[in-house]
Amino acid sequence: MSVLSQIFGSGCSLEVQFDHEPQRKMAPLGRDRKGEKALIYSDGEDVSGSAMVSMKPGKKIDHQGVKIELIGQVDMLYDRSNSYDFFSITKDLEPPGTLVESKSYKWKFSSVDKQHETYYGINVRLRYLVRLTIVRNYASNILKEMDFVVQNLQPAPEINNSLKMEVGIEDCLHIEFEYDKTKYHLKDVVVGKVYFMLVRIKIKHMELDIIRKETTGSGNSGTSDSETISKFEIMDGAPVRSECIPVRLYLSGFDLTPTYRNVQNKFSVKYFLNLVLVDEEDRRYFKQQEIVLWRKKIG
Amino acid sequence: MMEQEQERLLDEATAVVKEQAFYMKRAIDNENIRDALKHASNMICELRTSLLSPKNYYDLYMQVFQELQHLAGFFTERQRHSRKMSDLYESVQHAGNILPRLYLLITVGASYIKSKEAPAKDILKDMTELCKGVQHPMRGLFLRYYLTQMCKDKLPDTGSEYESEEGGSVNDAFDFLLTNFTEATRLWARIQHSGSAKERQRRERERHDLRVLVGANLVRLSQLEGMTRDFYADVALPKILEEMASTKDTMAQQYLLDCIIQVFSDECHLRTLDQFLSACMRVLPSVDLKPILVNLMKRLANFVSANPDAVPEGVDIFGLFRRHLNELIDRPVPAPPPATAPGATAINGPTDRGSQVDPSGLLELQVAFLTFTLTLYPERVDYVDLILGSTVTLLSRIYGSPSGPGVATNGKDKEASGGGGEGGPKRKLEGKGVDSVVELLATPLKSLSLSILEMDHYTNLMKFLNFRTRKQVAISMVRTVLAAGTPLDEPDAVQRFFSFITPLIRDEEDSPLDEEVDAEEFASEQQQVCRLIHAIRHDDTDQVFAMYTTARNAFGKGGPRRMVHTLPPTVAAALQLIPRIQQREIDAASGIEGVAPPSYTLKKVFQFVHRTCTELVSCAPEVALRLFLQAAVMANKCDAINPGSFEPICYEFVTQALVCYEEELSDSRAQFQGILMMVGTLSSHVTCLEPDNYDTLAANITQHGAKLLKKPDQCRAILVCSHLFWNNPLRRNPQRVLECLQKALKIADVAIQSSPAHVALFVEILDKYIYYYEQENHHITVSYISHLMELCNEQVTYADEDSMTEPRKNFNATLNYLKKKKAQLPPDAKYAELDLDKLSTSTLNNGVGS
Repeated sequence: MSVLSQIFGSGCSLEVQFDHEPQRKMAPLGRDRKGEKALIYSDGEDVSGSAMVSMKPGKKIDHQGVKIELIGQVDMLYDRSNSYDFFSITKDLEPPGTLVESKSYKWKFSSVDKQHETYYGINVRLRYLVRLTIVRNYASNILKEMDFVVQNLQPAPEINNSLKMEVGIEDCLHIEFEYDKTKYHLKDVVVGKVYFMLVRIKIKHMELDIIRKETTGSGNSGTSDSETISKFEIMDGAPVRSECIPVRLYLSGFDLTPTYRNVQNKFSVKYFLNLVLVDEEDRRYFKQQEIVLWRKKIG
Repeated sequence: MMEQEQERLLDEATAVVKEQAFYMKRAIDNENIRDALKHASNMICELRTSLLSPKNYYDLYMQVFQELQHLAGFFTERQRHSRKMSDLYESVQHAGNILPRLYLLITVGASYIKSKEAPAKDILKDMTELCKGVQHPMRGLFLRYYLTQMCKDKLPDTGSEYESEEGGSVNDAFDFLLTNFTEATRLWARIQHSGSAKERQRRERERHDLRVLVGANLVRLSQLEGMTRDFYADVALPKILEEMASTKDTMAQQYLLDCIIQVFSDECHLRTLDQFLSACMRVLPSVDLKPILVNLMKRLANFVSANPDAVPEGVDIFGLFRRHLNELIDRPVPAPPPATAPGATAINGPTDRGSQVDPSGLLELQVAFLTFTLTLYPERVDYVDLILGSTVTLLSRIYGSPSGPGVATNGKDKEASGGGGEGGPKRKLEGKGVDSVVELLATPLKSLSLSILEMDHYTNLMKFLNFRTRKQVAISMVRTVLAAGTPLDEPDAVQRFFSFITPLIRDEEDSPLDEEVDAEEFASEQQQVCRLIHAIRHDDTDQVFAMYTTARNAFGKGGPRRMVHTLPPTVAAALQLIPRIQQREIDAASGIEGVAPPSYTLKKVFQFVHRTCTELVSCAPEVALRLFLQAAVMANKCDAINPGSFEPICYEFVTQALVCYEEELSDSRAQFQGILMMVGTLSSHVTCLEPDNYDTLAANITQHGAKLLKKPDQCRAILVCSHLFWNNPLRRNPQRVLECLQKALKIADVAIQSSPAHVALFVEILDKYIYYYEQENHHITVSYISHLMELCNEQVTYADEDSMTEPRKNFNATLNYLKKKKAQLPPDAKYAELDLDKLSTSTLNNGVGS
């Protein structure tokens, strides 16, 4: 609607710009907006910029006010109507009246609370945007939205135990695996080993996959989708008993986010390391272990 | 399918490698590291195949290896890619497939070490560890091989540019190689279990092809500058051996033991002999230790002979080998090997196959040990004896003691030993082991010759052989002695030697009854034995005679069929000794300094000869006869020097010859020959006899001549006997000579009645007449001759043409002789009265003409 009104003779065009330091980093916006990048802000940072209303010559607009909003929004992608603003700050730039000439405004949201990170998933999207609106009585509002990205640094976890586990199929396969931590930052390396205590199946190879599990909704209405982010072969051929296979998986280079838990009661994103053994008949034996990802660096 | 399919697969893979290598090199030229890695990775992916045979996989690997050198070169040229080596090292690790990831990691890693941006030992350790990810035996082996190849010149070895506080020392270099060696060994050993049992054989063959990939690590280890003898003995070898022991795989243990011997220096081996041999004793029973130990011994033998000073103080090579080999021998017969290596043939230790225990492997080992010992210690007879002793112990356990039951060194196998008795173990060795035992016996003989006589176990060992083989050994012993020309110069040694060759000397329990089926072979064996007599030599006649006596006693047990061969040379040798003894007696008597009178006097020797000849009378009368006569001649010679002393002996010998003739010679030809020999001896070589004795003998012989069965024999014998009364000047009797000739003539006259062919006799008689006439026997006058000539002429002329050729020729020859005598100037007065013209000229012409 707003798009149409922009094109068809609303008589003005809107523009929103962020003030930013040259060194501020950008991040890609997400899978449905190919190639678009946006500035990265963190929790508590000011977000400021300017807004411009460019009037076409000889036009005028009666309005109920011009305002700028900063919005945090969770969209369920399978249900466009189910969009939920979990956060919104509004600032009036102009009291109701009539615009007859182009005008630009400075705006600033100070110390904005942005505790959730921008996330583009399969079913859910969490986005932050700045929206410039010319409010009108009868005609539809004139809008301009600009996305920005929120990423929050996290402190290094105080407790970070190694992840150790013994699993097996009786009289068939018995392994013990160990990852050096349970919590990894996004550029971290998973170091570990897989120790074979009993091997009675003919293993062809072994891989360590990273799986992202995205859960939306809650209870019975909840859905959950898993996505294999990467497959990484860590062993070729069949080991014998007491063989110990090293694991070293660099996380950088994969499209990972921190682990998100129950964001606004709408969704969670969890990560798993999936150890998969494939035998000569292509049967797969696997064990998933959750790992917690956290952000150590912006970008 | 195999061949063609393999070829096709290799071609396809090669094509991909070439293509990707091309793109990779182009990217390198453009300094595009990303693309270079991408194409390199694609190229390496071809090595992920499981379809190629080891040989073809190796082919493919070599191509990839070559191409990757370009990439390694690129990484090394820092200015071309301007990336930190640590970044590169990390970035290649993002590859999702493990095989290309690790190949690239190693390629970068090698350059990383070279850049010295990080300590060599850390990178080496990291790469080694990560390579564990490839557990597929063949791919893993090649990957490890690649690792060793790429890093072999980048180790923090002693004196290398990579050696430093952080970079590491030879210990790290060693750890790197050892770990890779260990891993490679495990992968290699695992091949046997991969895949179906059906293809096991093929897999084992392929596995064998791959063994150099394992050995390459050891080769590099051995080349480490820091691999001092101490390091080898204290660090390297124990670890290698530990790894070897832990493989629990026959082929691996076998190969590794061999490899250790081949790649490390002999100095190292000498230093660690005990360690190494002990390890050998602990390997799987299915490992064939023989080639390994044989190799080791060969190398050490060569090395120590070339560098005798290289043996470290206090290392007793012989003792060590002996101790460990004995351990092998003493091993209890193992239970069927545990489920380690199914199907492997067990060679180590006496193995139980059913109830049959086969010691052949161990015996071959003993042979090698013996050869080795003889090379290193050519003088140590005692060492050789120890080896033979161990062998006896080994065989006793299986076949029973050589000296009878119950003495078996290891009580466990008493039952198996059964009887034995003096003939040795009940069961004899069979099969392959026989050759080994023969070699064990023959080898010391070749190098130590008669020193074998000092060995206690030599004969014991022989007893395990069957008769035929024992005899062969005996013969080769005899031949060796003869060929070496070593004199037998000690009575005890002779005694022992004869006991060593008993199979040739006398019948044994297991001698076959038909031993002399091949008479010729038997004779030739015995002749070899005979030649031993002539190998007996000593300056002291007493010693010589003592040895002859020993030989004689030994021969005496051989039974008639051997004595026929062995006694005559003994007698001949004894006779030859006589002049020396006589000279010694004379020298001693005349007081020449340093000459003692012989304790074996001439008389004793003659007695010896007498006894020995008498032994032969019944079994070989002709030979006995001849020997008696020879003895008589020798006695005669002695008598000539010491007149009167030996007449009775001489007489006795001739008498014995005569007795032998009378009692034992029945064949008429032999009788005739006997007469000839006796006449020849008595008339020409015996001069010492008392007149009465001579006459008795002469008369006796002549009578025997006259009693010969066939007339021509009689006739000729009498003719010959005439010499008995002429040759000896002391007993010359012209009348008896004439009587003999006349008797002969009479007999010839009778003989010719039965066959005109006997006319030859007349001619022979004529010749004899002429002989005595010329010898001036006064009883022979020219009228006899003339008479006889007419007779001959008549006989020759009228007798049947065909049978006459020979006598006629002879007669004509005689005639021509006489003519010449008459014709010569001045004419021989003796023949003046002889009228040759009466004889028909036609005959003459006939004779001469034909």
